[in-house]
Amino acid sequence: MTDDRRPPDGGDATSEHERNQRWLERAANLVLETETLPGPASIPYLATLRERARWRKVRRRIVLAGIPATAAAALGLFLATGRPLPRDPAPLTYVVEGAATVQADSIEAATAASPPSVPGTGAAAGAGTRVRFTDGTVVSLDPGTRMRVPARTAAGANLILDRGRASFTVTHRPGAKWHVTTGPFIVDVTGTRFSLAWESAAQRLTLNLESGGVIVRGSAAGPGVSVRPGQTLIASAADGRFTVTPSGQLPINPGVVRPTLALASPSITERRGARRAGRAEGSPGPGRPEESRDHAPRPDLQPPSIIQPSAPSLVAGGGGVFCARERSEFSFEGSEHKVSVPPVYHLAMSGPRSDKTHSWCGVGSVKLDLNFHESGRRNFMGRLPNQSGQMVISLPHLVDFTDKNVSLHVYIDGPPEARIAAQLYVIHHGKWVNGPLVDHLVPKRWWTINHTFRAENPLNVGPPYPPAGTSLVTDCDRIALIIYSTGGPRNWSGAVYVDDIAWK
Amino acid sequence: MSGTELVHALREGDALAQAAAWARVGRLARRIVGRYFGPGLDPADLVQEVLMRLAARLDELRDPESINGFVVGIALGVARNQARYAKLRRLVGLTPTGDSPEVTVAAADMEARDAVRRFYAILESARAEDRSLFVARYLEKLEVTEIAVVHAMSLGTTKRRMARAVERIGKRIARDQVLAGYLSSGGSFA
Repeated sequence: MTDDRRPPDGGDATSEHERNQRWLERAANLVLETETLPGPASIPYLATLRERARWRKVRRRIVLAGIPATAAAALGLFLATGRPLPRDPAPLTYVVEGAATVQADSIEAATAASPPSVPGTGAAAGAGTRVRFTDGTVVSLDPGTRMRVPARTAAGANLILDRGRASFTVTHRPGAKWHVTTGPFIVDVTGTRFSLAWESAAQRLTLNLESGGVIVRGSAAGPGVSVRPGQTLIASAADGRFTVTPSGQLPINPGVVRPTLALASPSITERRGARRAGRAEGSPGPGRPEESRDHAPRPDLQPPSIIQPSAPSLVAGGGGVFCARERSEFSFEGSEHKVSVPPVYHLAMSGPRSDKTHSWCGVGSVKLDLNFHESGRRNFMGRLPNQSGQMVISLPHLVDFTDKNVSLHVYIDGPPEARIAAQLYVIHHGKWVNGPLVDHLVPKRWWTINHTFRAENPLNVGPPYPPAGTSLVTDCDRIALIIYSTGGPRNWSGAVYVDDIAWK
Repeated sequence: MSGTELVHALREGDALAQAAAWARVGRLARRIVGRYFGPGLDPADLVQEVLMRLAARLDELRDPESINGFVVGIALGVARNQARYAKLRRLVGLTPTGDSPEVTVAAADMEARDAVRRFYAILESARAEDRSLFVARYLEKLEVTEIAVVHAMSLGTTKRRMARAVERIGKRIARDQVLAGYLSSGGSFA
């Protein structure tokens, strides 16, 4: 930034201004380091959103058309109240019965250890908590279950199951629209009786369908997996496996129900699910805008009624079919590569060594231990030494990365609630030229980190340093990766695997 | 997903593409609103407001690649309005005043939690525009030119108002000697 924020006079005013800037920068670092990353925002009712947006435009056009003053005054009052034209039907409401803690839109069924905080609920803990909607839909919450109701319309509601198990009896009405979100999954319901359980530690969803029909979307479900009455669906967000069995039976051969419904967009589908199915669309990970995507609609197909064989492990060969056309400069298949970690500032990564248990392509990768914690002294950047880790790969000769897309693939083995950010660097004559910070990475899957470097690349070290101009990337002797702990638990140990560094 | 693809999905994508695009935009809006008001606030209603305004104004976007800045601008505008309404309601006594809500932060560090709580209490009493400029510059790390665009101000006006925002928030920090000491020492109340 080159803005001149100095006050006109120097001396004490200048030092006070600099002091204020330092305070704000440190306060900002503190906020960023301590903020919990938001979970997925609830998807709005698209039809309602479009309808309201359309009526906003209609209202604006009416105002601009120049209605006579009296009518305009009346319309202005009408607009000021914010009511749409025509009036939306009233959304459903609900009451909570039984022992529960109710706070804003959150309902937590009481357990024996946590008595309810809502006065007047009266019933003893464990007596059963029910949420009754005005259309007759009832949701029964097991003790300790927490559910939220962030959005309601006349057609239904958007429910979020944070933890535990709930049973749903959804009244079937024409146009009814209910969505239950849990973890990365969305269950679309029109009139159904089913139970849903979410285990956040195992990232596993269990759905028992008694009657009606549901479609489960999200994670590796792609555009949707249909579940029929009398079936139980167990879906794992950790490894993308789906198992459908008759209710009451344990799966003998857990397998994968491959969603073969039409792909609408690879941005919805977990790309590893698409790779397993052998499709070419999408990219191996986020951040590859150059790859083409197929948006052509395909005919809807029913999911197969037989259980398909298990897909290859995501840990080894995570690149799948993309390895057929990827050629990497560093594949870590056994050749010696100079990988190092620094002794200062970024200490969370250590012990680089060859590994054969995880790979993007081929069988090998480089493994480093991860150890995030919050002890130690803050460095001059305001960061604790074990809140970030760094690895550096020395190149055998100088490389010109101008107009080259540099990529590498990262797999983080850590607690599922952890959130990581990663940043790719190339080093040109000692200058660290960085790509953007790739945030919101989760453990237990491969990620692609890449950046296209240009002739002039901005150098943004970050606070407290101002931006430091630009740099070429014509004579680079090293590539580096920095990983930050940005959310979830702040003290944990695990591992990171890096594979297949390429540039083209 | 590039900006062009995102805008295309928002405008013309099928239901699933739209859902994914709205989810992504929703996360950005939620982050901006969350950073504006600090931890402890459930921004769901404001996020929905941001998304509704975005849906209505999407046709105004000329360069799809600047969709992020467009969303940031709308989100900060909604946040500023909400902050002004909340202040007005407090002034006329329509809602109870009180301490900031308990802060939920990722760190187990009690000092950090207290410092964040104190800082957001200062931000809550600051001007809505000052707060918005702080979020844009220090939390979202936007360049001055980008800050000018999302706030619909000229470059010169942006620089002047940023300087004044730094001064005003700095003075408020200085009045909280505990927080000032924490920030001066680089992260310790000791």
